[in-house]
Amino acid sequence: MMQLIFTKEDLFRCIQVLQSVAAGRNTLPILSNVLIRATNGQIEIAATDLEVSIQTVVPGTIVDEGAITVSARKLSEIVRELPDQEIRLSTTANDRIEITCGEGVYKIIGLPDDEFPALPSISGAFFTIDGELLCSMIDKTEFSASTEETRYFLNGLYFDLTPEITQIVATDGRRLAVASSDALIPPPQEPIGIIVPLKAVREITKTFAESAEVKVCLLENQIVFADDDSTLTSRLVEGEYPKYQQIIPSDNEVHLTLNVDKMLGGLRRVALLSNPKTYSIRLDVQDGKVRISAKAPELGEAYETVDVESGDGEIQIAFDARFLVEAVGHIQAEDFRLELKDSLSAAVLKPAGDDGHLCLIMPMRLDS
Amino acid sequence: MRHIIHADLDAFYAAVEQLDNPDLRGKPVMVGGSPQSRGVVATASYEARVFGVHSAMPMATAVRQCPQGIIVRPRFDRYREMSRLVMDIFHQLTDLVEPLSLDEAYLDVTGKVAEGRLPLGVAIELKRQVKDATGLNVSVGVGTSKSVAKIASDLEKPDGLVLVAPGEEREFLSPLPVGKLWGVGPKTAERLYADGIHTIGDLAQQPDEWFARRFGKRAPYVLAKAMGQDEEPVKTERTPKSISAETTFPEDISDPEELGDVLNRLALNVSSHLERKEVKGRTVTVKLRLTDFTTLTRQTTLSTATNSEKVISETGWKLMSAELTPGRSLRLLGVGMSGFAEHSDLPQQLPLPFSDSMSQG
Repeated sequence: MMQLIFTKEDLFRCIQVLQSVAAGRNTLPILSNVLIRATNGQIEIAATDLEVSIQTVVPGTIVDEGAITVSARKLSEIVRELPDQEIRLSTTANDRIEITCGEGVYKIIGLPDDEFPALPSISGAFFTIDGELLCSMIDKTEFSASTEETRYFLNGLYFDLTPEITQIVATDGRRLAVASSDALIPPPQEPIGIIVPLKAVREITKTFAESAEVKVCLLENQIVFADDDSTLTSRLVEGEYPKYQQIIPSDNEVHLTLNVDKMLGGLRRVALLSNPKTYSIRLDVQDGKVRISAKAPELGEAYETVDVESGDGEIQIAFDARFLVEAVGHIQAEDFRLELKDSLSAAVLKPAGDDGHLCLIMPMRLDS
Repeated sequence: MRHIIHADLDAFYAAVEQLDNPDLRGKPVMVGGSPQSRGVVATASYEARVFGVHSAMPMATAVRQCPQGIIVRPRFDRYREMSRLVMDIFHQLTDLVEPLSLDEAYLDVTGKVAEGRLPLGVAIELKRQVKDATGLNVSVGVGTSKSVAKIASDLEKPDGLVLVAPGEEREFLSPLPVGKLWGVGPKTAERLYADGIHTIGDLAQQPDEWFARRFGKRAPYVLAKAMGQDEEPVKTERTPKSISAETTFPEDISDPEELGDVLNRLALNVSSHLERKEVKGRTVTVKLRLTDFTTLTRQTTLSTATNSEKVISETGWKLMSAELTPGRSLRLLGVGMSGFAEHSDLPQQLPLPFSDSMSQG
């Protein structure tokens, strides 16, 4: 019989991440369970919904080795409420698990570990990337991905890996975000393009944000990310990603440099009085200033003016305020460049002095 | 007094196929999915119906019953086009047209009769116009209510014309099996049979208390229908809050592919209905009724309003397939669209100018 000892903090942190991977109801019961396995002096907990899987090492003491699976949700709910004391977890007859902590004893009915699906691991050739950088690239793009189910191939991030550059791309058909770096070691010899589903992407940022080195390995239809403690596997989204490079404009002639905080504050405030049906917000660029304005019928209107730090031009253009706020809010710099062409063409936003991040937003047609 | 016509195109999909392809005429045609992929029959021609083939039957069964049957893949665009032609003819006759699906509509022709036309003459002319314009046969029922007209149109299919004269509704309905009555499904009919109620006449003779006990809140409606006196108006093109289509299966279905076929057909219905009303919706809803009568509805809202059959069926599929687990069967499936765009003059979000597959949807 397996017997393990954890601190509440270690166990809870790990279960929380895994619980979001474990499948909800209405699927195979084993998929709503987490696998807890103590072998070779290591305790590993794993969850999968057959699309995304995570295995992770949890610090703890092994009294006796063994394995079991148990409802991810129940385990997480119980561990969350336990006092901050030593948690003992052991298996008993008939695939039951017994948790004791303080004065409490909790017995949960589990399922045998041999029913749990086999999980892939890193095998063959792999790339490495700094975990913090990977997560920052994801953070700079993920908000632009589509969550609409009709265009399933946009419900993920496109990893565009070439010998020269690594790009992570997201679009929902109205806006696009691209983060670039040359951090993939070694760079691939041939271009590789894959779509990683959003669910996996969110788990990557939870799991690898502090890893010094994440190994990335491509299997057939799957991608594996791993550091010393955790392995995350995801099925790839099938489908052809749109040719995004062709639509990044190079002929936007109005170039403005703006302060991120000033612009973000102004956009957020004025957006409060935008039309709740469209969230449309208007930018009027003139005489070295950007006038942000919005109007909502039967509600009111607002405007605010932000000074242009440098650059000049004259243009009127409208956007979905939410797209602007999200794009500006994800820029990691003090200033950003706003490049415009006309009121019907895509705007380009980039952090000043950094070519590693770009957002593209299509405007809304101005009402005359 | 009202004069209502129920017009129903005969074996619509199959008839269009026979019309477009002379080689199929006079032969058993089964429009639907392939028997290998567990497709179902959408429509069977009358030549195939002789062999017991009917719509919603698994194609594999149909092939066994009628091995010489010719399987034709459905061409929904073409059916929609033909449907539009037919509906246009209906609209030339009266503004009060209530389409039920691509091949079926109620028409309130009270106005024509008031102008001095005879209901029979209106019906004959309607049949002739449809035949001349499209080559299709339409079966027509004429009566003073929707339910009588509907039952009448079904009685002498194909190419039928049945008129129920005012005042003769009860007599007309009386000998018909109770299951023909609108609102009496197969399950209810079975229970009525067990009670010794076989015909609509038997039903109409039951005392009020019995009706109240048997049908609860629906009692007055069912009674009125059994007497041939229902007052339900022909509902015209006013924009409703939602448009949906649903179907109850003769036998529960668990096969995802089979359900997918049904879903596609429902999506087509919803999409053509949206098109007729010239509205686009943003919220797609699916309704699933399980074997134990639990009803689930699942919905999602799209970023842009659409009436596209493809988008509705793909979105519906996503919603439905998430609920399909091994062993779970459905007795009813429905698809609906709501969240209609009200103001087309609001500023419109422009799409990124992708050249490839992105333009759809």
